[in-house]
Amino acid sequence: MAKLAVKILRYDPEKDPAPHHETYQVEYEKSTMVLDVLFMIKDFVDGSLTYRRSCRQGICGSCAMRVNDRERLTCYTRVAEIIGENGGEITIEPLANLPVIKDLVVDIGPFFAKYKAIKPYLIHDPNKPVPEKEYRVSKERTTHLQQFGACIQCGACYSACPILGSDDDYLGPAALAKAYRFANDPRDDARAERLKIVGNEIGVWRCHTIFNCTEVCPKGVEPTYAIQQLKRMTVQRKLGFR
Amino acid sequence: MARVTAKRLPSVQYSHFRGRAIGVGTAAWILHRISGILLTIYLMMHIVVIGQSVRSKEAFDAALHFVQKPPFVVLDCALAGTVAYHALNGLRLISFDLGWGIRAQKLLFGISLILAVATFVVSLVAARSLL
Repeated sequence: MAKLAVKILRYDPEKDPAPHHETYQVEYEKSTMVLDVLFMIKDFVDGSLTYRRSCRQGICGSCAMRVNDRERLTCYTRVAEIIGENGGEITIEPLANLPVIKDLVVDIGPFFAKYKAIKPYLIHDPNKPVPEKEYRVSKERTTHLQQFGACIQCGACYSACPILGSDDDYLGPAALAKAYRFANDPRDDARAERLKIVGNEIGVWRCHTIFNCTEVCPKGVEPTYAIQQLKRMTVQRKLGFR
Repeated sequence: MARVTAKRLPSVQYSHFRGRAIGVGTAAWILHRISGILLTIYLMMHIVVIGQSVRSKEAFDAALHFVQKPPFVVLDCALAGTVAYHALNGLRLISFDLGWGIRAQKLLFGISLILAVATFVVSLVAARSLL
């Protein structure tokens, strides 16, 4: 077991005037994840430490936080692999760009509101006939869309985006990537409507291709790619040839 | 759960300016913004200098004489580099908007930056007699 200093941004709005860092000393071994460290501190040092977690296997998206200034899933991040980044110390802070409720818990409401706004479900035109057997989607299309279906809505991309750092209205990478997934699904009949929702100054045109979202996504989704494709589709529709 | 006023946390806001968090894409964006501002300021100064030609031959000659001094020659070479970076990164962004080269974004940035620095250096070499 090796020693580790953990600096956590604490904030209890009922008691603290402002957020502040507190340092804890813990021990870790080869298999310790950052989430395990949070459990250690809450269970044995300071029971008031508050954070979200659920599946502890990288699929629920609850435990996304900023660890050493980078968005990660704490259940998926091995302490031993990041210990060198900050000279033997680990800093844990809540996700950025969202209001902090307490300690490492943020209000993820705005993130999900934007997700809902892009209509993340297939829309069928009632005037079109339903196919006799099943909807056929080619293997290439399925493989291509799979990446954008892998999103676990953890909020890491939303936190990493500098545009959201200065503009609360921007839809954000997760919502736009999902909009692309549905706009590009052959079973969907509402492409024009979807492109209208995202083709404006709070949608795709706010993206400056900074790529932070693509770099931090724990599931390998490439929101920047999706947003650029949506830009193309929006322009083609406006110019009248798609 | 009783919700107390949820406040935005100021210290985590500008995450993109923290050292470790700046990736290639963020650096490209910041440099593009800075070079754009510098070019705008330069353009205004350029209009003032060249505009002296409307006043008189003497005023124009004096203005040109002033901006041909060695420090300004170096700045002119830096200008060439700045224009090169802004233009090349701009082409990189246009290619993204057309849907091409997104997965090669780091390579394209590297090429833009290297060519921009090369432009600056080559300009310095070409203008060495004026320095």
